Amino acid sequence: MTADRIRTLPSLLCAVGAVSLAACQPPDLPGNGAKTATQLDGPAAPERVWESPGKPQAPIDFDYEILGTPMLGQPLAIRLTSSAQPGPDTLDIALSGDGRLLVPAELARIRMARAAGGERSSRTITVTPLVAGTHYLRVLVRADVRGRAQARTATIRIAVGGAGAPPPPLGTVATDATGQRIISLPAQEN
Amino acid sequence: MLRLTVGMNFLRTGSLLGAMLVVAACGGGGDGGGGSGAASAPAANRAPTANAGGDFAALEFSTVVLDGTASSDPDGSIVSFSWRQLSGPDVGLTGGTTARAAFTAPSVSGPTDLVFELTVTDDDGAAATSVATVTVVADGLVQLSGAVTFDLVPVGTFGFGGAFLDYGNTQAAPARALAIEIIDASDGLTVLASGATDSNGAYSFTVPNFTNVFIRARAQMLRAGSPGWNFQVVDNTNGDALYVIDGAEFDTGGTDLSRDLHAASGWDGSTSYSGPRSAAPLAILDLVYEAAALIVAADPSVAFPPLALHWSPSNRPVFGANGLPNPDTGELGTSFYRSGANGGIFLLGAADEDTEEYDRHVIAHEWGHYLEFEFSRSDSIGGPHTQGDQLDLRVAFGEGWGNAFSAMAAADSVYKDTLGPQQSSGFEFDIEGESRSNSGWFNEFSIHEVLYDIFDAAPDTYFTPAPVMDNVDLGFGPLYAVLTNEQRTTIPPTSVFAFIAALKANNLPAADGIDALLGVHAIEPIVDDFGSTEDNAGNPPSADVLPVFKPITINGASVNVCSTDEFSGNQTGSVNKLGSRQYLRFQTGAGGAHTITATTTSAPAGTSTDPDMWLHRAGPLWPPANSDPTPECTPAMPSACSETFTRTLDANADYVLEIYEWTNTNASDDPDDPPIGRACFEVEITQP
Repeated sequence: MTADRIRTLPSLLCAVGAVSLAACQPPDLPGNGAKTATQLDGPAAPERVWESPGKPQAPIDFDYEILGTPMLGQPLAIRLTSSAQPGPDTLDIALSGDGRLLVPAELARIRMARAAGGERSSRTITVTPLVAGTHYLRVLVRADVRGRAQARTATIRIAVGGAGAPPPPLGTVATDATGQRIISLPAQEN
Repeated sequence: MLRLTVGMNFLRTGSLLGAMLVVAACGGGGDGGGGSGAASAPAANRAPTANAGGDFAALEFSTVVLDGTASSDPDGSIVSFSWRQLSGPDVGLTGGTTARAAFTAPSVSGPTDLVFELTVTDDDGAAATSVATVTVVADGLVQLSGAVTFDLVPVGTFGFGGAFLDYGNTQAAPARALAIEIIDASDGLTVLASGATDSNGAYSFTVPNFTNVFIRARAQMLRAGSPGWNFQVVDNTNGDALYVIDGAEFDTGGTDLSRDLHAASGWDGSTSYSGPRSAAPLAILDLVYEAAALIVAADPSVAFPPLALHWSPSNRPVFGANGLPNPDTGELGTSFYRSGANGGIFLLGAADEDTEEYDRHVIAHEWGHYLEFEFSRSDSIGGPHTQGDQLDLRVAFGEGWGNAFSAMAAADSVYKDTLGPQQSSGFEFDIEGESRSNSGWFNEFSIHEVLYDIFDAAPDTYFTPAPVMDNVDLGFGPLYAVLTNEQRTTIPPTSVFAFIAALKANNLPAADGIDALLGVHAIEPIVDDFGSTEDNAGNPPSADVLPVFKPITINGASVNVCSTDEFSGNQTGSVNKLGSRQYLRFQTGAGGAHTITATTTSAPAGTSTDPDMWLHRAGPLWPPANSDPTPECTPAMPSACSETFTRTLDANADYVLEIYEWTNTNASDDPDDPPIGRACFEVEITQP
């Protein structure tokens, strides 16, 4: 049933971390793809490319899983999973779409509590893509952790029928006298 | 250089504009010297209004047009025009009895006023006059100066935690060290002058007079020489196009002039971004300015490697279709630093989701990684991390450094990150003391607090586990010195041990104070790069953690080590957590081929293992030893699960061997190969 399994929040970093592993150390590091036979005094290491783990995140764990293949006009189920111990007891979650993705009004604010025994708990929601293209379901997760308000955000990518139009530029795209590509933004003057 | 005809080339400064208005009023009132026509006209006739076109400036030798076509008669028509020169070097007027007269501006050595009077007569014989002054200037240059500012939106915090963008307290901040160009508007390309703003955001250029130009502020800090830098903000979703802020076209005129540019946030004042977010690239560079200033103060001749900061409103907190960052589409997942030709700092920019241009700590954290990679060495393996995690020592130091540096560069010890709808949510933590859970050499929070306490001058007092007064105040210079020297060349993987050992050695008077700060975070006094004195085995303590670097002897007894997932926590898997990777240290005698073998001695019931190894000496040595298990490797035959490799090693040299159960480096919910848990290996090193 699982057509697209993506962990988010801590796993945002997992995926980056995977790249980090491949980068900080050479790219076929175990855990990052096919393993290779041991080499003895092999060639020099490939060019060293290093990637940071990503910015610090609030200590809130939250996962999602898209259940099935997104289809135009068809409700799409997404399973949201709250943290287990020692995470917060409850998560306040707000979901919003972009107008081309039908998000039921009741999803504007939902609350997920930790399951009995401190285990993770889940909730399945549905949204409906109204037009083809790539949609982004915005998720804001807030919780109280050790007496302090914390928040994390995630965006769930829902692609229906292939990629949509590329994002529009912020300003006017041109080239300067050196041939460098530039994006011109307006200034206020006095 | 574009030179327009004078008639279209007038300059109306405030004072000149005022004079023009006075003249117009006089002409309209008919008392400008020729107003008798109004007084003597028949009662039925109303006087005409003369308009000589107002005052303006003109370039020597240019053709100047005096324009009286704005003159009018309220109850008839103008039937004659008459121009005459009242003062200034004599010029020959052509068309002196027409609405438009012209002359050739004389040669002058400095600004010279020529005053002309226009008399108009209406169809009833009534007349009126108007005067215009033409200031003729020499062909040459003018000084163009001004300042560049941008909307700086501060981050607010709630008393109970959380953070938000405080649009209500937006300030116009100077854009410092920003690359500025004066562009010839005739082609929109030719750069007539270039330079940079100063520390107040001010610029000043000498530019050709009477030229149509516009001012361009490039989202770039560029300086050749020593110190030198090239930082620029580009749009990763548009071919890494450089952001520029362009002013409107104007004429430089004949006298010095001032023009200020301001880049607005685009915030509509209440709920959303309704205009171009012009301020964003400049806000990002503003933090870079602060970060670079820290380095320059410590190293005045520093040459920064070029750095692109990638930002776009399309940069979202979601990965691309392949589960990895896709800068082309803006699906970044998070903000991060990546080295290499197409690398740089990648920053989220999607409004109402997560955007970083005003999250100065986020930018500084990633800039700290740039600094670490380019000026020092980072062996961090990355991976997920958050408060309270007990991490592999390399990750703990790298992230602790990033956090501490963010507070230093932002001059604010409270790390803040805003996000969500209207940027009204977020989180914050205090670098000076947010959490003491799971303290130790493996905790990035412990490390960032120690580093920041060493840096700052605040005399903090700690009461647990024993009273400690922070009397260390080294500033940034000593930290930078270690980062760029000893930390770069340390033999074992980069960690707090090598960093602090060097810092203490270089700053002996502060050594005891540093050790006291370490004690606050359950870190033993550090005496060497290997953490030889460390007795913190994690929380709860693990028998597998210590010593941090376990000794092994070539051709000596084998050593048993265990890779564990017990510190994987609830949320982030074991990929980079304490204990999943074990370290053995050894010293060679004679150089030559050495064979290293790891053989499984125990594993959880029903599992088979896959031991893998890396050799380190001032960084990981290529290639790793990570072959697939043989068919004989089964749960019933653990001893068949082994890894062997042979490598030529230097004589009398220190090495570190990293060994781990492969699955214990995977995420805890890896669908194919989740961590199997504690797996132990017998390791031996032989030399024929």
